[in-house]
Amino acid sequence: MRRAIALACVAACLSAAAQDADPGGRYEQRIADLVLAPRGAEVERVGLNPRLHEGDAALYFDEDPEGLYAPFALEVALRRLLGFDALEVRVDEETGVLLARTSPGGRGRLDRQLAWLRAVERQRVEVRLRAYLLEAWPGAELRPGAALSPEAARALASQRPWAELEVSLPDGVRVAGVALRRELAFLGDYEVNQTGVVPVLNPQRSVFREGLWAALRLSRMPAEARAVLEFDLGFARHEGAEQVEFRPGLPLVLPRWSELAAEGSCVVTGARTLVLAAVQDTDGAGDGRALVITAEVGALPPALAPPDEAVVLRRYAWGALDRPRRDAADSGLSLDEGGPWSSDQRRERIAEALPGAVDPERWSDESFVTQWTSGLVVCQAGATQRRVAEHLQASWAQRQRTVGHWLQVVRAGGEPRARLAVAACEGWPGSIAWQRKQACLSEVERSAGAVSVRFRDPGDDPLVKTFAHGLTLEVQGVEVGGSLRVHVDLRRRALEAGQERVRTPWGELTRPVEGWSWRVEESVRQGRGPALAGEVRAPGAPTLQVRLDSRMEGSK
Amino acid sequence: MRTTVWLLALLGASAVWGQDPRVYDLSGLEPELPAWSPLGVPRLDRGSQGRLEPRRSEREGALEAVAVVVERAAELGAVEQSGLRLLTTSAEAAAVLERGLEPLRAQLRDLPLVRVSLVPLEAGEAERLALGPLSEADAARFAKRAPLARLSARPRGGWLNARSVRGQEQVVGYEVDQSGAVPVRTATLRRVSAGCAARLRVRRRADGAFWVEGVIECARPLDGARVTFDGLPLDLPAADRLRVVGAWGVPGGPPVLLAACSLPSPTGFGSWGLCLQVLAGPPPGLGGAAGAGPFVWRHDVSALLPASYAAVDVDDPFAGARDTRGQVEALIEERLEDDSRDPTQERLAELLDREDLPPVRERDHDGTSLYAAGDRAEQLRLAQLLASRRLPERRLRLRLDSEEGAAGAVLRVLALEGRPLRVVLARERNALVSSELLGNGCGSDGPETVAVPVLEVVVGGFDLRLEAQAAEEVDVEGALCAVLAERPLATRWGEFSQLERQRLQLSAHGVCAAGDRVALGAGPWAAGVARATLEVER
Repeated sequence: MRRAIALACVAACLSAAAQDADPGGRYEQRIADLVLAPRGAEVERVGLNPRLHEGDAALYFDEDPEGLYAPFALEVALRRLLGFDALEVRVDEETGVLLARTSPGGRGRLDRQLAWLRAVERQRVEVRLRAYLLEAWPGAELRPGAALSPEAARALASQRPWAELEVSLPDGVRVAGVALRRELAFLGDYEVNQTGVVPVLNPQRSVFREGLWAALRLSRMPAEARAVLEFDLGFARHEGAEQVEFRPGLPLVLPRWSELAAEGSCVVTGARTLVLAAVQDTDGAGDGRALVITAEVGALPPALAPPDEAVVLRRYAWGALDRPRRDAADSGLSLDEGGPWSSDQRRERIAEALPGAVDPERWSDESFVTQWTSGLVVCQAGATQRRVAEHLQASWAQRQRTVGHWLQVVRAGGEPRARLAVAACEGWPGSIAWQRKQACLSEVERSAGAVSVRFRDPGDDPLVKTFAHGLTLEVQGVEVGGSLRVHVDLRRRALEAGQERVRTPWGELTRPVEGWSWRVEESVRQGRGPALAGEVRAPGAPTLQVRLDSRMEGSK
Repeated sequence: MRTTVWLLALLGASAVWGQDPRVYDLSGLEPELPAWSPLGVPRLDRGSQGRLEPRRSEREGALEAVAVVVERAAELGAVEQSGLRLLTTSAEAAAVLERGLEPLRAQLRDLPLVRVSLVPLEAGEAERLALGPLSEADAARFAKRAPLARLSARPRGGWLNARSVRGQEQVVGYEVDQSGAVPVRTATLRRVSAGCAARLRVRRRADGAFWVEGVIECARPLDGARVTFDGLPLDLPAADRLRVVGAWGVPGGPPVLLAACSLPSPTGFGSWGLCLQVLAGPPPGLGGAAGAGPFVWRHDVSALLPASYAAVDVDDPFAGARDTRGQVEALIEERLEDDSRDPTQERLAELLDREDLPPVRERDHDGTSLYAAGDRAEQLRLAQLLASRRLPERRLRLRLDSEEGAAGAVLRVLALEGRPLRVVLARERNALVSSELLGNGCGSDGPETVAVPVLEVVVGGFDLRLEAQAAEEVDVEGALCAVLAERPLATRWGEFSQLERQRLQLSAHGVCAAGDRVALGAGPWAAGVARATLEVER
């Protein structure tokens, strides 16, 4: 049977080869660099046992690594581009090999097209992320989303980064990376196996990954030398561990650590260093040091101009055209007055409207508009491509400016207890969560064996839980009639009274005592002054003053 | 016994009828593959890795070749088969078998001699020496040095599967037998071997060079530790390991420098060069195949095949230990069925069509051979054509420098376009990291449990996967690992190791022309910051 199949295949190949001689030859080129996600593109996050927390999806990004062009979509696009000139165009999704049967002219067009796509994709932007741990807050010159002032740049230059990460960003495609300082493995738990006659207690190892993790996407504006940098940052720092004896000879290691998660975006116009997020925590166990995460963005390479008459594929990144996925319609912050479309609906509308809006007479079988994951793809002559870019810029481009948000929590009449700063494009949400976490032995569960003929020797299963306290800020700002309208959601969870040790028949357990917590959710209009300033009172807790400054950086 | 009786009966009948019966023994055409025994630190999680199967079944391939010959012979006269013996009374069929089997035997008979050596390099040599065939002077200098590891052997049936062990150490470990009512802990002796091992497929190309692909591994033992686990002694062995997995085109004759490395600190093997030499073997072209008339010849097309047909998977060189033949067969079947998407088949078909070459009977089961039936001139032309389709070589250089200006490490490797290469250089040791209590099964009275140690192979070093593609595309990924600290934790079973490790991820993807340098990654390393770069040598 196998032989028959093989012979049939060889015969089919020979027959295909015979056909080949007629309309043109076989064209083969490996284009894995264009269509396949780089190997190892997905990187593991930082924190405690990150493999166990894969469900924590990022706000902006799909988690799967992606290539620059979807293989199937590029196949369809190239087939349409060649039209009747091609008998066959295929892109192998596993190997990234492009196979085509076309005339010598078609092969030449494929060569030129792929050379053009590669030339465009070489226009990458290098971004170097740095996390600094500073002894003091850098001062008012630290403005999220704005280029560092000379003073702040000098202050940071004299410091050694705590973590540093360099990524090379193509247009509109997510790239993730991690600067892992260290990975600690320790005995973090015990687990009872109940499958046998007697329950068995086995040690479980935990892993803590300390470092800086980031997923970035840089999307170029269609017709301007500007781009939008979206970021999803994770920071985790091990701050020590407590060793407890759960039972004689059964030690447990309970780590303490701090975590930052920040998501936001900013407009970049050229080589400069920006502050993406910052935090300082002098509350409770905080050591008062400031964590500042900066991005040194390389120069934006000039956009390549296709020849006027050559029909080429060009990708316009969705990141520059999309509307906020989660706009604050409830608070009157929606940027788009045209209706509450989803991203998909908006993308469809852009694609459908384009041929009628730009050079309607120049759209033919070989020129077209199609939607891909990473962007809107237009196949047109160079001259029309320029007008397409201008149209997209004028009619659909979003995110022209960055809003820097800076929040202080101050005890009445005292020093600031916490500061948070994050950058987000106008109309887009930014969020920053700063948490101190601690693993505690909080409960003991008794377990018997699976075969309960005779109940004997129950096993004690220690339940190790993670307690967290800190601040979470979600904020969104948009200019309306000369004023900045801001929607803010601030939550605080505190372990004001620390922890309580409880003696039980099963040993000493730790119970967190939640002192107080509060939440502020407001939409306010501000002029040039503070967006939000007010007091927060909670029963039995000191009054705190909260002050949020939001500032528009750059101009439209 | 029954077979013998059957054959005797056939022979007797033939004698009675006055025909001339011929018996052909096929046993020499079925190469047996010896087991692969890994060197260095034993891994409990790979308890079954003692046997590494080739990714594609060479044995199947050889028998397929015979089947092609037999099929042709059977068209001319009756051929009976019993086990590995053939019998025919037809003169025409016998002639076909004669002409068909002898070339196949010749291909398996003329075995080349393969030498692998890990040679210590002097200062600057790792940077200076050209990768590829060594000059006579360099080869002579290398010959005078005591190698760090060495082996030489002749591949059987295309496969070299050899190890040269310089030292073996038995270490104590534990296993639990849970098959009875009460779990029983038994002490086991595990073996730590040092020396050199290679599992390579060596095929002669028609241009005289050899196509070599597979794994080369060198190991050197280090002082291990002995700890107490649950009141019993437990050995934690350690070793340095170098593993290179890839494919190369090796001209027969002088040693070829496949990789060179220089490390500033005396870790691993220090500065070394990995050489591979293939000597003698079958003559170029069709070797022993001679005579008039058409015959079947096996042509190697490994270089034309996608990397998924490689002899050993670079991403998981021990996959064979867990691979099942069914999976391999399914993969082959799938590829054959979906032939229209296989660029290799198309390329071959195009070649054969254009050059007016002999008809291809079949691609064999191992996916790396092409059986063509034709006369000597036709076979020679096909062999030369296939040999001309060799993959270009790329020389890649990886540098690891510290930002503080300390001397860096250099690794240079010879790679073929389209064929991934993997280099692992690591200091490995077993660490006791946890324990597992195992109980007895159901239905017994006793609640006995016993503890077994949970060991982890702690690795410090680097693991790199490099792939050079056409159109100057380079794809590199890997990691540098270091063990920063090891803190003991006293438990009722003994002292567990709590490890603090550092890992620097390295990756570069995209177009990289000769002379270009690309950043692979940077990050905290030891007390400072390390920066890794990749350069494509001119």
